Amino acid sequence: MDRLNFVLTHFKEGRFDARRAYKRFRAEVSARAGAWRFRWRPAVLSLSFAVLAAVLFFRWQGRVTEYKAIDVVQSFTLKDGSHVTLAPGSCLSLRAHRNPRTVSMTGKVFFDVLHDDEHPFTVIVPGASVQVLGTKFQVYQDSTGSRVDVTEGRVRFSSGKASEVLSAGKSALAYADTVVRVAATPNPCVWATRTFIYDATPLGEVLKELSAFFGEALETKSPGRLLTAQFDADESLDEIIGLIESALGVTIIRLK
Amino acid sequence: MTVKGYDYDMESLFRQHYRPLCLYALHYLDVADDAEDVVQECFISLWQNKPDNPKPWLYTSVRNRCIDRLRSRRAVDSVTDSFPEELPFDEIVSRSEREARLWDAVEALPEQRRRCLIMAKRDNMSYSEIASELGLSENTVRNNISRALKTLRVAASKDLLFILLFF
Repeated sequence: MDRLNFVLTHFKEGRFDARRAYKRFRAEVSARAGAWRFRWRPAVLSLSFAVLAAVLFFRWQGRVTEYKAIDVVQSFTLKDGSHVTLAPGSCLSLRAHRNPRTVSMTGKVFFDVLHDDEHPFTVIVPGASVQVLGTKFQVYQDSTGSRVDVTEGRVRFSSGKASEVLSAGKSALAYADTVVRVAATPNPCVWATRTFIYDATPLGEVLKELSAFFGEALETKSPGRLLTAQFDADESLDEIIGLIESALGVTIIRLK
Repeated sequence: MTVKGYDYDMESLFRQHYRPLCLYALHYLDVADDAEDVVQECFISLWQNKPDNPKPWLYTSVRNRCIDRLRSRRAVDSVTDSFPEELPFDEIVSRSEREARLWDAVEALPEQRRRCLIMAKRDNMSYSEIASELGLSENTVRNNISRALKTLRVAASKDLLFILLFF
């Protein structure tokens, strides 16, 4: 009875109890499963937070900032320090956190762009774009196309594959993927700059611009005289006419 | 607790194999608590590994873990005994299951009968010593042991009958 001796040698009541062992097994397995969950929970939570943070970050980066002028001229300073002046009915938008120096616009906007060699400033209008480093210019956009008038520095005006570099005092139109240079008035941006600047400008041209700005027809018998002067656009037409007449010794007729 | 993807459940595996496996481990380790620990570890490993055929996997796993324990014990104790002789798998299972049935039969004996048997066979106590220890007459002790052995022989003979019928 070797087998019986072996059993009796080790026999103890309750020893090798399968039911109790199974309970112990379940407890052990639950603890391990719990530990597994516990180990993974922080990782899963961290990952969720990272994804959420990334989503929020990109949404925040992609958030569009809009500037609008409803019925009066409005000026704003953009995040990069550039100044914009919007004509009534115009709108300018940009993604301030993704690319603060790329703006989209409709209507008419005058730009006074802060110089930054490393970050060109880009204005996007339907069908065209203007790229600059630092300068002053205006962009006018309507359903027929867009126009750029440069007052300081240089800009690259592009539409499709066509492109023109415009320097101060130059203007161009863009439509149907073409860019065409056009004659510029002396102060195309006076609505925004509020200053008329003339440098040996023929008087006829000066009066044409003042007529358009103040809505009154002006004439002179000496249209070829050259005027070098600077006027505040907020002065009255009478004062400006008086200054020109006394400076050049000419007579200006107001046609009503 | 069903093992995922398998048609056996852990509870029934415990019920069928836990005790035979403990007795198998005991042949190696000679310490009951160690044997239980090894078998428990093997069941957990089974649950983690989910083998196709759990029974041979369990026996192999128990043997390997027992050998590992013996090696680590011997490394500590500087004992160089050889391991127990290896038997064919069928014999190992057969021996373990028979011992488990015998264990069941001992466990099922009335308490007084079992105590008398254990004191006589395991502790090598004389009938008079047992009688004195348990406050019984020697005759009662003798009867208890005799009946206990008879019961166990019947249990063992069932095994034998089983063997004769099927082999």
